[in-house]
Amino acid sequence: MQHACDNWFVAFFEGALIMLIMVRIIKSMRGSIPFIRRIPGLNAIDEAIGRATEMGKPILMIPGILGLDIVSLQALNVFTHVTRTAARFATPIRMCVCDATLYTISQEVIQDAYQAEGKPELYDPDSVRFLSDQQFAFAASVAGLIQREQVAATFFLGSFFAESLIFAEVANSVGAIQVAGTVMTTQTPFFIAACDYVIIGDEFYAASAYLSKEPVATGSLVGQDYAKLLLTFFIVLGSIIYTVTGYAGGPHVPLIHTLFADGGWTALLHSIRHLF
Amino acid sequence: MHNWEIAQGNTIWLALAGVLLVTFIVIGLLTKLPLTLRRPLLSVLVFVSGLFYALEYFLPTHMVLDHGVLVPENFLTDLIPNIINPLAQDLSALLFGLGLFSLIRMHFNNVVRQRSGWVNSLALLVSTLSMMVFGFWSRANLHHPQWVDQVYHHLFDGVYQNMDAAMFSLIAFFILSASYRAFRIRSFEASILMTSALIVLLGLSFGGLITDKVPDYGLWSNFRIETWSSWILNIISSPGLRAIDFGVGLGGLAMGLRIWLGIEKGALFGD
Repeated sequence: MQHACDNWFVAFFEGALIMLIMVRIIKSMRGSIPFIRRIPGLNAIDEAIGRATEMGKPILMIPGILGLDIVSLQALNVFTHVTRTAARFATPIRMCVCDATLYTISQEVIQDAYQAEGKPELYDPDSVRFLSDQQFAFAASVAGLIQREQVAATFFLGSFFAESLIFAEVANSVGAIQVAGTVMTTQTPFFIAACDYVIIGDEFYAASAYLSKEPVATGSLVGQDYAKLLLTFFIVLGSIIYTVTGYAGGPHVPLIHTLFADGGWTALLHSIRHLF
Repeated sequence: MHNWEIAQGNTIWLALAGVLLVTFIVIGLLTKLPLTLRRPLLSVLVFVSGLFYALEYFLPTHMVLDHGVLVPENFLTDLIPNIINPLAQDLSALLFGLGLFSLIRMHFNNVVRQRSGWVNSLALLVSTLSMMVFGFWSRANLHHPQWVDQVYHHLFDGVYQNMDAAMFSLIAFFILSASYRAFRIRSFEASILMTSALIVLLGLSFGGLITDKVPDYGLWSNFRIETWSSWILNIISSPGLRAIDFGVGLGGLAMGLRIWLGIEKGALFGD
């Protein structure tokens, strides 16, 4: 287990990041709502639902293959929006989950979404399915479901691993419009290659703010940007300190350290002359 | 395992029955709660859980000998492996039962009503039942016949593992079809992508043979394919991925904070 007293700098730095986010949330709650740039992947959600509605085929949603965590909760936020929009047009949905804990929560969330739209009778308990908690058994089940039901739109949002390409390619083969987003940087390239729209990196966490325009979420998003600026400042500062002092050591002698050493400039000029 | 060591003999069945009874009463009461009360209760529980981990992280520690290794601990640290982790495991096991029930119910209905593809549902039911019967028989009963182990291993190692590996191997073909579409040169960006991918592929495979005659020292080493390949991976790709990771980490931190403080809206937390 890690503790704050192991490295107080990290603890204080995290505290500073939290303060930045909290300050922006409070400002937004007081009425200063910031602008959020257009995110094509999130704009495509309505387009995908519209297409499924026109074709009269189901929409498939998968909240990753891990259990209940921040990532899957964020995916559920987006899926609530998808389900509510689908409920308005009576478009059928299918949601496949790989974790039993997430399954029970997903059922409740989807049922609530239908109730919120005033169409509880459209909710089908079999639309949320627990298929398997084994990675490739789940992948096989989802691939089979995509083929059998010829889904028109797919939403893959959450934590994915090697099975990501199986989902995306099978959905591509049935001509489904695909929106994918993952926090796993190793899987993003696969989604980019196979899907129509991809939500990259922290755009995934921007989704609820973008879709709901809710003050807390939008304020938090701007707070994250301030936190990124703070991180960037420390990265630049660290790079300068490393370049000047060679603090971290290593096999390469830092340029500036060499130049400030005795005969450093002469050695540099000599090596340049030697090149030609 | 810890719980099994505490209670032995008949006591364990009584303990199990008691735990199940209490669990179902608590779950029953929770489901009867109106939505307006359920969400504040959820927020309080989430806050208390988050506070526990925050305190465990920030409170001062002292060094304790654990399995011959000195580790930093405070008075809350011990609760994590002894109470919280087993509790989470028990809850997961209970919820897995619910998931399994849903799966079986759906496929059972498919078979009974002979819906399209009902034979697949039958295969799933038979497979699930076989694995459960032979798995429990082989593990729970120490005096089982030897053929039970053989059947279990045949089902698990001979059937399941091979099908799992077959599914994994499909990815190789999907990579080929996806990369074919991704690398079609249709724009300037696609050309850059294609060129970079080609250099990295060559650098990681037989590309070294092409620039084999180029010296691998001094200025000339910059003209070797492997140098280009590692330059693209380490100087272009890695910083990009790290930047994305920073963003993802901050996004997770912000969302965790919102959930912990009960100010998150949306699924589960109300509009």
